[in-house]
Amino acid sequence: MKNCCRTLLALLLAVSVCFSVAACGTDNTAENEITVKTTYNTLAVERSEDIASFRNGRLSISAAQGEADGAQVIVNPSNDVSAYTATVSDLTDADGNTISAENCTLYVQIYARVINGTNDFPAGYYPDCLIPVEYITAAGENSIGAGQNQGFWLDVFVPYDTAAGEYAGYVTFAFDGQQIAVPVSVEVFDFAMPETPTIETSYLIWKDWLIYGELDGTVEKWKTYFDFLIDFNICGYDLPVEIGDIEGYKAAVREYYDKLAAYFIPFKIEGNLEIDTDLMYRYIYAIAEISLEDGKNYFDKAKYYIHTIYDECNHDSVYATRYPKAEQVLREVGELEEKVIAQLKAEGKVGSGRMFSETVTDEEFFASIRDIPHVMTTTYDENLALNYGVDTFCPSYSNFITTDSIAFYQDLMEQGYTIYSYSAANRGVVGSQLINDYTIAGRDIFWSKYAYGIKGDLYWNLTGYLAWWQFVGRGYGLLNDLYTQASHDGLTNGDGYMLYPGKQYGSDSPFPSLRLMMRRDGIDDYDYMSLLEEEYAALSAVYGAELDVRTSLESMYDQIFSLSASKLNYQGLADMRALLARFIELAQSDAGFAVEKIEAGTDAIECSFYVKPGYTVTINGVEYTGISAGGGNKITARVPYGESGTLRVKVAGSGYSSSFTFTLGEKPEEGNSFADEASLSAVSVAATYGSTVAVNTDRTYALSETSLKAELSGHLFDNESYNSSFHPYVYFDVDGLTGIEYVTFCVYNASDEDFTVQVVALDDFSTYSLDEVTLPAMSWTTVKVGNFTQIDADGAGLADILQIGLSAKENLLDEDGAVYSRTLYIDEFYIKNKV
Amino acid sequence: MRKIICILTSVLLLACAVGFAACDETSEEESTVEKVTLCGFENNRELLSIAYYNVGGGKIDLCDDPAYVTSGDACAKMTMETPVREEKGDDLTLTFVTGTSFLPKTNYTDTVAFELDLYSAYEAPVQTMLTIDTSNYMWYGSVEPGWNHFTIPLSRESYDLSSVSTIDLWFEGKPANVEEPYVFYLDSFVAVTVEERVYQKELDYSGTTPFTFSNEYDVYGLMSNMGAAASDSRFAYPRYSLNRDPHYILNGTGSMKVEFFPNEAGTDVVGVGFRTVRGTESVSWNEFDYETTYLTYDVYNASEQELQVGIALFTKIDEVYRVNTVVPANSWSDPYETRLLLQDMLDQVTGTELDIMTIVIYVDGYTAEGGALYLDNISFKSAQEFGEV
Repeated sequence: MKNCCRTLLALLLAVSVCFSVAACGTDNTAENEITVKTTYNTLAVERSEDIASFRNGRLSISAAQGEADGAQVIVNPSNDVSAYTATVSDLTDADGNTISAENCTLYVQIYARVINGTNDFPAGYYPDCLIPVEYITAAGENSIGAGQNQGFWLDVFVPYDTAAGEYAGYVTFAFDGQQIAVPVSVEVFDFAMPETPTIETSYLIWKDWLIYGELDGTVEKWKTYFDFLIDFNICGYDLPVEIGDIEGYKAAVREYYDKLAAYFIPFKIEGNLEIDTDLMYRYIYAIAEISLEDGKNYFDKAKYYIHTIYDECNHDSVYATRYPKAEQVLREVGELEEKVIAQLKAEGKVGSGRMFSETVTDEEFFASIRDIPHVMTTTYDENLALNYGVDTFCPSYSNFITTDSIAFYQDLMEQGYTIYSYSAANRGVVGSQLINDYTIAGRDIFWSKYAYGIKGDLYWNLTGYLAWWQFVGRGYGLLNDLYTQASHDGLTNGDGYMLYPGKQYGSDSPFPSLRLMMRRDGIDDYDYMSLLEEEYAALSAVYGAELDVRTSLESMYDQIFSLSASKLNYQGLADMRALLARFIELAQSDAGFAVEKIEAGTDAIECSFYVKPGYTVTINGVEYTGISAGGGNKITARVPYGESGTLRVKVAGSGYSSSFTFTLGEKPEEGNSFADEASLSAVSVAATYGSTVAVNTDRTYALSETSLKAELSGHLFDNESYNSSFHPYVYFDVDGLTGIEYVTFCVYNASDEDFTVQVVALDDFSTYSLDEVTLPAMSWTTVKVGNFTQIDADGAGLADILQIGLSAKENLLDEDGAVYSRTLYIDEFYIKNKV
Repeated sequence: MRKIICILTSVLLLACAVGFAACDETSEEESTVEKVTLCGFENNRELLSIAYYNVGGGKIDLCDDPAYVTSGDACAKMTMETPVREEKGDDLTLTFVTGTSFLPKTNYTDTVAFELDLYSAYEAPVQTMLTIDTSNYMWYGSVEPGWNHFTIPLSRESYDLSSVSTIDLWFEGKPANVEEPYVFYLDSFVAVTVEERVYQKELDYSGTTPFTFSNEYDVYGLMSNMGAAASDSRFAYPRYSLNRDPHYILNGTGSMKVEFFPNEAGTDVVGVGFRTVRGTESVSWNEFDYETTYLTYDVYNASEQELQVGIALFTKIDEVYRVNTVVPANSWSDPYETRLLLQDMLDQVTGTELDIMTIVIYVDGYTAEGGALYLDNISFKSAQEFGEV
């Protein structure tokens, strides 16, 4: 008994000792070393990425009145953080004006797990979902692992009535009680955003899939999503009304007309790709009814996008069966429009000289019904255009990556066509839509869209809240985690969704993604350029000039994109956006300052401006006197590059003063003068097969003293495959393309036929096609190529590029198989380094 | 001190004694019936672990109203507020995905039944169905207004339940021209398990009577529908059940009842027939004298219409041999009409042996009201049994 008691007691004692040791836990009294850094809001920072070289923490935001903009801060603690909190202060300027903290949202970046990575973006954890910090805190998920990055995105909306100026405040973090205050500065530009975005968008909300993330597929939830997207400058395609609810649709058109650049007329598919024509008639008639009731032509923004039938219907693919259906729909809808017009006339509501409104005649109103555009998600189709009146085409982004293809669509625009562009699962430097990818490309695609005159953007699905490459039961599979599973299609990371459901965190609204922010901000940038275009149109009338904003901004574009490819210039995009804002302010000011051009000339920066009388323009400290131009003065200057190729321009007068700085970098270097025989050693042609090069001194074919004469000859091989693969060429040696902004040369096509060439770059192993340009007969063409991120996005491989030049698209053999040649004269070959 | 120690020890010993006694009682219960929660509908994450099909216009909310909670703290309230439509809505499905943190159980060989509590605030009955892996196993029921405490028996011998991927709960689509939404409260979806595991019965399809339809396990899961369109409601698909009514049995102790239902348009029945999905390859096709052996079947037409019935054998390379007959209303088929000679079949197909993939029974002639037939014995009979030399 005594021994038993001892044993029992010993056991009890042993247990108590164990518990007391366990209760002590880990000693966390040592202070946590927390690195706080900021970086561009266009850069997605992977969770394990080394942020040591990033900037020290200060959140800098700039926005116009009525615009939202964001900045990100990344923290990395040396020890685990079990709980953090964060608060945002009001932002105030020196005059006591305030941007309330209520206009600020601090998002926590949620990291999506990428399993199948790429060379540039390997497997890892990439930020995408953005959840307001209060939801993360409430869910108890506000912890950070030791040594892991945790990104935060501060978004600030600047109300329309905010005074321009510099505002400051703080984001105050507490990491397990350890406080860190990150300063915030917000520059409010002195102009207001348009209330409706300029670019037309259609980013589809798949209502039937909302249930998978929100447990709610009702119209009310759909409307929540639709309204949410409007704050991100996006139209969520169909107005949130149940199909067939005509009265609801009328109310929705009235509600959303002024908020959207365009809205879409619903459709219902019956049977085998047939539309419900009765329903379509009722929709068209309903829009007519409310237009007449309100005296407001709602057809002005109406469009058809019958995606089930129109999508890629002219492709040589399985979708080709849709093409005849598309023709049928176009006919039927045309008939329905006429039927609506006939009904309106019969009812006496309009027609027979009875005006639609004080300013719009009945015929104009009827024309607006007949002219409702059909958005055809295809390349240009002559049959649909000429025989069915289709005037809005939406080809994919890949149709805007060569000079020729861009020119083709711009030519259509000049003929009156409206061009959108779209893509899906897009990877890389052209309009990326994926998580582990070049996030900035999702924003600067809107710069190239504006530059090329593209009026719209489409995306197929924002709400793919399930795993649609798997099947479960009667439908698709479920995601393991709605917020961190990157791939929903088994192939890409991020295609098919850019929103995240709010349900799990108790939010009625969805959460945005970093990728959606890029689009919002890109659309804002597009609006900036549209605003400037408006201002310059008015100033053109004042000065009797023809200001083309795209010419004005060309040097800006050179730093951001080339042939739709992002140059991944994070600082450049930020700088150019700020500069653009300044241009808008200057244009709107009493000075009426306008930029006609700023160009990196071969010897000097060539610029020309317009300004109102009474205002002076000083460039790099030198005051320029312009010449009279209409209601103002035109200043033309050739400004020496100096050390950095920077223009410091100040506009002053009548108590007003504003300035801007534009750095263009060093002057272009001559790539080859083609001045003498020695220069030919850096030029290559297929001499073995009859091509030749020579120095040309005939000034008829030179823009300077001499030029290069390249005679490209076809060759007939015995081997047929060689015949098809041989492309006569002329290449110029380069010492890599690292740090090169663009390469430019002028080419004269001496033949009497147009000649299409490819612009290529070569290293030891590969030939990279950069552009395709048609050289008009007996004309000079300036070839400018700078899309080197298409060769190697991170730039490492550009050092290995040894040659750049032109090659014929095919062997030069005529119909009879006889060899012929083409003579080109090349001059003004320059290489422009990056800023 | 000694006294205290003794008291402490006594208390400890007493506690152990009680504990052991309790363990004995618990062990006894565990060896009988245990209920494993498949879904408790307790939180949003659990609700999001369910795959919803055709519930697009609906809403699933957590509800903590004790009037509808039968276990835990919450239940699910499913509201389908689809608008008034001219045609009936599509079937709704809630698919419970197994092998997840919420529903880890994938082996149901120990499950004798499912139970589900469902309160319907909808004014009319709604057909419901439970399937396993979508097409395997079907139980049909009716959700009545008010409380429904479903106990869904599971015939373990009839199905392979060792690796289940999904358990699907179906509701028929909302009727046409009805504004009132479906409102269902769901709770306590459990599997009733026992200790003993029962596996799908291995059936012997060899011999002269490969298909006898005498037990559940040689009826359920045996057949698959033919000709039912994806747009047809699953509730209108043909249904298979074990029949024990001797009026419809010729041999053995059972036959298979097959019911056909009208389509939504009311113009026809759903489906043109049914076919075997297992066992066909194990049938002794090539062990009989082709020239003197018939494959036969017996079918009772329990409708008021004359039916055209055909049996077709499909080979693995999609060749087919078919024999048709006419069965009068409320009658058995003529055995001389529902037979096919194996040699005739062999003559029609490639090869020197029969390599049959599936047996198909085609049925035509129902009015749009539908009807039933009974299938008894797919068997081999010799010419002698037909009185032929």
